[in-house]
Amino acid sequence: MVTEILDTTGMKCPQPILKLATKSPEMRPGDILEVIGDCPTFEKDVRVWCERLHKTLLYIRSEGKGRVRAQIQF
Amino acid sequence: MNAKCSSIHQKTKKLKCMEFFNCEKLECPAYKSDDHRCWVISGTTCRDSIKELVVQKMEFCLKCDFFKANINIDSLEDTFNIINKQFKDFRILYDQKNKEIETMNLELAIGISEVFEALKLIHNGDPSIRIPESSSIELIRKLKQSVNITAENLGEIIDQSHEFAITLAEHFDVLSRVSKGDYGARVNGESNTEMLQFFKKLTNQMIENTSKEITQRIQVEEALRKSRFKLEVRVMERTSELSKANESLQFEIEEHKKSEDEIKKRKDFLETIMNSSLDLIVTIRKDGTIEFANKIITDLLGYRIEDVIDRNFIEFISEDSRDFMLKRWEKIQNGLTGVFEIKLIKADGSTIDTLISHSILKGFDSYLAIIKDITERKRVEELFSENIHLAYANKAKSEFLATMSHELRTPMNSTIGFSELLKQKTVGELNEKQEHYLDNILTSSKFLLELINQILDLAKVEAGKMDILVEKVHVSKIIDETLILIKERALKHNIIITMVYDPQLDCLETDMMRFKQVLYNLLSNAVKFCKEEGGTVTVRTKKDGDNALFSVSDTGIGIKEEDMVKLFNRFQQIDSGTARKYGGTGLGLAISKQLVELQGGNIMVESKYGEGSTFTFSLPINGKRPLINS
Repeated sequence: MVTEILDTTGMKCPQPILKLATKSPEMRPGDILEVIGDCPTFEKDVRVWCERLHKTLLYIRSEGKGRVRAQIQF
Repeated sequence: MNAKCSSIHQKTKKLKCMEFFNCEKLECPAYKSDDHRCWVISGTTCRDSIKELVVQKMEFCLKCDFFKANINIDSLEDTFNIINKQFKDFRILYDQKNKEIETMNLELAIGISEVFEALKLIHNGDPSIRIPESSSIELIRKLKQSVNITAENLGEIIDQSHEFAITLAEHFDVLSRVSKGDYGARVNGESNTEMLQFFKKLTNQMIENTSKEITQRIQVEEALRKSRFKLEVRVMERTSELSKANESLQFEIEEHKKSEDEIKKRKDFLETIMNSSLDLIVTIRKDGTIEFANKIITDLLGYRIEDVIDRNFIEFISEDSRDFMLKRWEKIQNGLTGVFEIKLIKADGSTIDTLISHSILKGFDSYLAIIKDITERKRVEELFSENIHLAYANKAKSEFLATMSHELRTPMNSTIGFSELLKQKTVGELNEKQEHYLDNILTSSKFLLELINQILDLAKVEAGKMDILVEKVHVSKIIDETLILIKERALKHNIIITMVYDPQLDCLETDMMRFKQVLYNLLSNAVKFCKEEGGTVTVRTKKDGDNALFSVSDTGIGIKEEDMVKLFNRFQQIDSGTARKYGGTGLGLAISKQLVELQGGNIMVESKYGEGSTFTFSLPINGKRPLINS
């Protein structure tokens, strides 16, 4: 049921967050967005973003080598 | 020059060290001192410049004349001991310094590698690293500090940029929501950065203002829509009101027209009534003048309508009655309504009896009088009272006759009785002439008796003294008994009597004797008026509802149509010739009629002249008690 995947690997923060921000309006309530990032503050940034923008963080996990995958429900 | 100078030195010129060592320190204590011993001996030197040059100094000292001059073995040992010590010290110092350098190098290496590591981490994106700032080497310490500060700053910058990014993301999200119509969306959260805080506030304010404007606009639009709707409703209401008003106006107009028509109709109606009335209708004003009169005024009193209008009504009252009228008029003006009789004066001066019914016309403020001509009635009343007198006279007569019946019949019966006795030759023989005369006497007497009987009967009925004894009779029996009486006479005239009895008519309540009288009368007539050659007489009975019908039909001479009227009158025989030919008193049918009607029945006749007649009388099966005649 993942609606979209956003891959921000290789991007330096805060770019991942900005990419996420621009993707956000395209999602409709109920959609699930999967985001992948490798910037060191990625996990923190995703958590803060979800908290501030009142979206549900379904899960966030490290896949090794600094790669982090998260799923957000809108 | 110091006085303390030794003699040794007296030979030589004092060299200023500065001159020698090219030292420019004018304040050099070595120079200042009077003691010229070079630094090795005296221990006072400009150490600053000499420190590194110790070996050179040694070399120099060896070249130095003074040194050579002043040197001795003892002091040289001392000097060498000092030099040795100093060298040892120097060596220790050197080692120390070496160690220090080593340590420093290590420190340097470690410090730099720490820095390097930190920097690597930092450039990999994690500015959270902090190196412990301890180091013997200040530079390293400072470097570490610098790195830490840099990391901190970097961290702050990253945080700040994240803050910006997230704020931007927030704004983005909120603005996109607002653009989609969610005017309640606001950027929230606090921010440490004043600018961001301000930005958020600004954005929110902007959204607020915009949304306020939009809300206001929506409200205004809504209000407009509502008011337009209200207006439309109102317009519709008004239109409906107007159309209703129009309808009701139309209706009113129609009603008005209707009522006008009605008024006209009523007017016509009234006029027609007024003019069709056989009575005189007059309205009189309060002052007594005549307001209106219908055309009967002409028929009744002979005046034209225009001749009586506005004249005082009293002028038309007969002079004799005026007093009475004036008294009545007073009462009328006080509200009396009613009826009274009065004489009026006609146009020709004669008077006429009238009956006046008067009332008040409330709506019109005048009096209404309906005037009836009662002259005829008055006459009738007079006649009536005359009639009463006549009736009383008649009644007296009848009563007289009734009472006289006995007185009248007795001598007749006596005459007849004795005549019969004589005829029967019981008291002696009779010659032919005597017999003939006797027959005449008998016939006349019998006839007279019959007449007296009939007159008395009639008188009795009229006087109300006829007693009717109602009893239950058998129809067939009573008819048979009557037939016996007529049988002989019928035979004599060649008449055959037949009976047709209705089986449904078995019994009847009536006066037996009177029934027989009526039936005998009819049978007698039937036989009497038969044809020369004879004929048939048929007696029929029939049940007709509550009545019993009895008919006697003959095949006699019949009755002419113009004579039928007189049939039941008294003393009427068709013509005088008939009386002579057929005999009879002429009272039979009259009495029969009276007797039948007395019991609530009636009698009728059908006849065809020359062929025969049928007389039918009916009686109620349940005998009616006699009606009292006046």
